[in-house]
Amino acid sequence: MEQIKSIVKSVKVPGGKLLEIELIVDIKERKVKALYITGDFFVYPPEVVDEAEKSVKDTKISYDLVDKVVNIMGKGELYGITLNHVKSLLKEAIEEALRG
Amino acid sequence: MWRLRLIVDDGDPYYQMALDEALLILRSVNVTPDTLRLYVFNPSAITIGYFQSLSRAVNLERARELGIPIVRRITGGGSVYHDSNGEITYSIVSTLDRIPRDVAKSYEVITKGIVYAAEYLGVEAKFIPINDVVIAGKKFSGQAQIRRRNTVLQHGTFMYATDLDLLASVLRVPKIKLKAKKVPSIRERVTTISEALGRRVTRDETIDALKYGFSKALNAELYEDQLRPEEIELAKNLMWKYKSREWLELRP
Repeated sequence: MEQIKSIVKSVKVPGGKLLEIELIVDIKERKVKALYITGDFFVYPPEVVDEAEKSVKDTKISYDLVDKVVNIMGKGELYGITLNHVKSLLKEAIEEALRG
Repeated sequence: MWRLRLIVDDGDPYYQMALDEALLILRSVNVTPDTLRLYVFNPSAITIGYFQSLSRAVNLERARELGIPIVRRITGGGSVYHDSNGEITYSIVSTLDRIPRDVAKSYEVITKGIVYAAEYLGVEAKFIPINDVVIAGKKFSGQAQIRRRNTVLQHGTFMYATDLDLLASVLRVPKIKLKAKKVPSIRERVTTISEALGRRVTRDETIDALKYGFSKALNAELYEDQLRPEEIELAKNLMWKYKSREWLELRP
């Protein structure tokens, strides 16, 4: 089995934009190698997305990551997506990661 | 009336993106005036939004085959094909004294310039929030915005004669987005002023239309001017970022 796995979850928000969550995990170590929050949305200021992505790098895969990311993203103003979309996609990705 | 500096130029994609950022920074510290730029990407290029995944937004193999440069923007939004002979990009840099602080409203106010420019050329266009302008449901203009301190940068496209088959072959749009837009492919979702009019519109006509459109939408008097040395200098320094692999692959 591949040790490094990329999990991508996406949604097109009705009347809004595309949101993709890419979670790259080390299945054996049970760790997050990288998180990318991508799409054609807007966030003011954009740096909160960078900060949210970096905050979970090299941490243990767990549902705690959801709150961590959502709290940081919540410091910005989102257009075309909502925090709830981020939350549910990230949950799905973590669920899959925990299944291994 | 708002006296708004107008800069018309062309240049490579790294310079164009660096200059937009330089103008945003220098305006935010009060070094330079409010500015409207109308510019051409030379050579033709692809830009992607700050949050986009490079590999999911662009057909990298096709872009490489055609030798089309790709640059990541500092603004959000989607991927764009900037055709040297079919697209004018605008950018407006202004303090928030002249532009609404409300983000949705500010898009609407600035983007009216695009709607009026299309009207000037004889085409009825419609603003679709957040950031699209369409002709009969098909997109020909997209906008993107970033704010720093008390300053806004909004840039956007105006496709007057873009090679849409080429555009469709180099940009990637995920299936879930096409499905939501109810179109089989990206080609069916876009159009140009020339396609709508059934005649070839020229670059000069388009620039005249955009001057008319933005001065009307912003109630501004445009005066054409040159860039200042400090603007060119900062843009040249910022170009390295836009040329770097790290920046392009920020979100691979």
